[in-house]
Order: sequence, then C-alpha cells, then structure tokens
Amino acid sequence: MYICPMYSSELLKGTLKTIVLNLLKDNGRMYGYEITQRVKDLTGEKIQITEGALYPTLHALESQGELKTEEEFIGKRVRKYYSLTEKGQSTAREKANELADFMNTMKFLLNLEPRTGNG
Amino acid sequence: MVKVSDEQVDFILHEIEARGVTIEDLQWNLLDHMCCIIENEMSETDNFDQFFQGLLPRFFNDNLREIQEETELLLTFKHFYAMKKTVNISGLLAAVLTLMGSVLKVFHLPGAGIAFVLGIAFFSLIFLPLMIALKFRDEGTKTDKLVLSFGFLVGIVTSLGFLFKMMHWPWANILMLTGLVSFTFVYVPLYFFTRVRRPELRFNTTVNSVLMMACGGLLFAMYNLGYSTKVEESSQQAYRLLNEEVQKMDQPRVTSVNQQDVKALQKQVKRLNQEIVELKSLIIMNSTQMTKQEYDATSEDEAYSQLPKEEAMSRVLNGSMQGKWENICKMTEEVNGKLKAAYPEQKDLIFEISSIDLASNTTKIALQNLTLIQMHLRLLKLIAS
Repeated sequence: MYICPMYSSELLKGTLKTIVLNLLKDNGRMYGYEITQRVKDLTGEKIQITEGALYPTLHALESQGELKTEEEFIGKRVRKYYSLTEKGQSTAREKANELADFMNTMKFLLNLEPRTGNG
Repeated sequence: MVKVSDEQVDFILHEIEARGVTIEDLQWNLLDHMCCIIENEMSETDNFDQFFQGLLPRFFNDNLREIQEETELLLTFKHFYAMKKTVNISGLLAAVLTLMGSVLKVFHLPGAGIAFVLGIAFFSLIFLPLMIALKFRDEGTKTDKLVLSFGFLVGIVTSLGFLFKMMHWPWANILMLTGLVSFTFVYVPLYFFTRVRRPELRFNTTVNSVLMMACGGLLFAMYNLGYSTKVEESSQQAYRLLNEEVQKMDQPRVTSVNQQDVKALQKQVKRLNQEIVELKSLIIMNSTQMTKQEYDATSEDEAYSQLPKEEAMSRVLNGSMQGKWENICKMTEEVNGKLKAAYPEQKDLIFEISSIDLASNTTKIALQNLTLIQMHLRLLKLIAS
C-alpha cells in the first residue's frame, strides 16, 4: 500500500510499523500528515507512505498499546497527535534492530559486499 | 497558504462519512489529513471542489471505505490471536474436564456432574463457536465454510444433548435426536457431495464420510436406549396378575362337599409351593453366583439385593431350571384340576399359569411372578383349611 516511485510494495511490506515507530521515537509527537511529509522529505521522495496504509497501521499500533494519542482542536476539526508509549519505545528499538540485522543478512546472502573473514 | 473554512470542514467530513468511513477516530484523522493537504498544496487560485476531487484518490485504490476495512482487519487481527489462544485453552480444558468427569462417574466419586457440565460447556459454548468464527476467517470457498460451520453447529447441539441426557435434564432427547439426525442425514451427505468431486480431496473425503456416517449411525441407534420394551411389558403383566390376585382374595368363603378332594388339593398345593421355593433359590444362586452354603447363610432379602442390575432381558431359565419351571406349570394345572373337583363353583380361583412367560422375564420379575404363584397357593390353602 505504498506509493513508491523506487521500491516495490512487496519489498517494503512489513517495514511500515518500523518506520512509524522510529519516526515517533525521534520526533516525540506527530500527526498523520506530518508523518507522511517527514518520510517523504527524509527519503528524498524515494518512499512515500500512503494514507490508506498509514492510518490503519496507526490505529492498530494504538490498540496494541504501542502508541498513545492527544487531541487538539484546530478550528472545527480535531488533530490527533501520536506518540510512543513505554511499550512502543522498546518495540521501536526491537524493530529497528531486527531490520538492521535482516539487512545485514540480506547483504551477506546476496553477496552485495565482500564476505568478512573469507580471506 | 489557503485556510480551510468551517463550511469546507463540514463538507469534507460529510464526504468522508458518505463514502462509508464510520469509525469516528478515522474520520477525524482523514479530515485533518485532507485539510492539511489542502492548506499546504492548494494555491489561492485553485478551485476547492476540483482540488478536493483530485486529492481523494490519494487515499484509496477503488473507494475510501478500503481504509476503514484495512483498519478493521488490523484491529481484529489482534483478536484473531486471542481467539486462537482461547480455542486452544478451552479445547484443552474441555478434554481434561470431560475425561475427568467420565473417570469420576465410573468410580462413583463426587464431582463427576460438575466436571461434565464444565467440560461440555467449554466444548460446546466456547470451543465450537470460536471454531465457527475462525473458520470464516480462513481461506477457502464459501460452501466449505458454510458446510463446516453447519457441522460445528450440529456438534454444539449434539454435545449439549449428551450433557442433558447424562444430567437427566429435560429436552435431552430432542437435542440429541435433532443433532444426530442432522449430523448423519444432512451434514455427512453435504460434506461428502461438496468435496468428493475435487480429486485432491476425494480419498480423504470418502474415508471421513464413512467414519462419520458409522459414528453418527451408531449414536443414533443408541439415543433412546432405556429399558427394553419386553422388560416393560413383563413388569406391567406382573402388576396385572398381582392385582387380579388381590381381587381373588375378596372371594366369599366357600365350603367343599368332598373332604377327600380338599385333602388332595392341600397336598398338591404344598408340593407345588416347595417346588417354587426351590426354583426361586436356584434362580437367585445362579444370578448372584452364590454357592448353596452361601445362599443358606444369607437372608432372602439380602440375597435378593445382591442380584445384578439388568436393563434388558437376560436368560433366566437354563438347564435344570427350565425343567423345574415346566414341572411347576404341570403341577399348577393339577392344582387347578383338584380345585375344580373340590370347589366346582369357584372358577375364578383357577390360576392361569400360561399367562406367565417366565423365560422372557428378567430375573427380578421372574422371582416376583413366582412369589405371586405362592400367594395364590396361600389363598387356596386358606380356603381349603
């Protein structure tokens, strides 16, 4: 569910939670539109999170107790700010480590960099 | 930067609702998001309506409701794991409690009832309904899901029927009958015909169907097991004979003309009574597996209480007992003959020995019937005294 000019959605499937959790870890509290814009900016528009994927994930993370919300009225509309709970903090770390480990394994598996200790 | 007006906020919210998004949180999120896009990306010269129609497709592939469906899917995904866990726990509890209930029941220990009730409640009210819910989430054709869910539903009814039967609660038979008939004659054929045409499932389907049909058929045959009709008939007959005997006792006292005949009658009555006492002791000894010494040392009441329980017919008469019974029949006819000679007027006192079919009585009813003949003899003795 990503609109992504560079990567296939299969490739990115499963990283959305990691992206959202770690973005919130670095930025404190954020609202939906802000998240999509930040990802776009940080990746130089290589990754663009679609709204159709972002909000279901935010709601799921909230119901799992990873995120908490604060509501702010902006005129007639309500803005929901998301931030990490304690549980969310540790999940963000775990997810980031897991992904880093996965990327190393993939590099090794696909022989994308010289194997260490191979002479 | 454009500022979204209150009217435009209302309009957008209305559009979001109209397009099938009903979760309030999600409505607010989408509203804010759309407003942010408008405020950041729309220029002063753009037309609001056109811009809004243009931004909508960023949120979905086909329609906006997808976003709500995706949210619901992710939210229930959490429940899905909880459900699976509950299925495992309730299944284990049901199995353990039902097994425990059976063991306790066999050994007549307390707690059997409560273990059964809990075990089958876990099974039919938690485990099976959750299985239905999980089945519907599984991949597979709609027909398969419907057929299997129907099977689980039938399972709920049948297992409740068994529980009710075991606990002697009302409606047990109707529950069991409904469950077993639907299982054997509706579910199994449905299962078979919806699957047998698929080559990869044919063998398993056939084997499973045969197994289920056999189980269903056997249970169906057993559903109304109680006292056999023959036992029921013979106990009714025993009561009728007893009642007739009571009425005979109301006979006015009569005198005989011939003392010789009366004496002959008395003698025959005594011999017949002796024969009956012997047959009764043979029957009891045979049924309780007592030796002659043990039987003699036991009171008649006690010996009777040691007779095994019987729900259906068992062969009461065998070998020498059959001979003895035939002898008793013959001697009763002789008593009847002597009665006619001594008291020609008293036709009502004649005992219809043919109305007792000792061979098709249970042990207890046979003993009761023999005692009945003894009562009749006592009556004759009184009259002839």
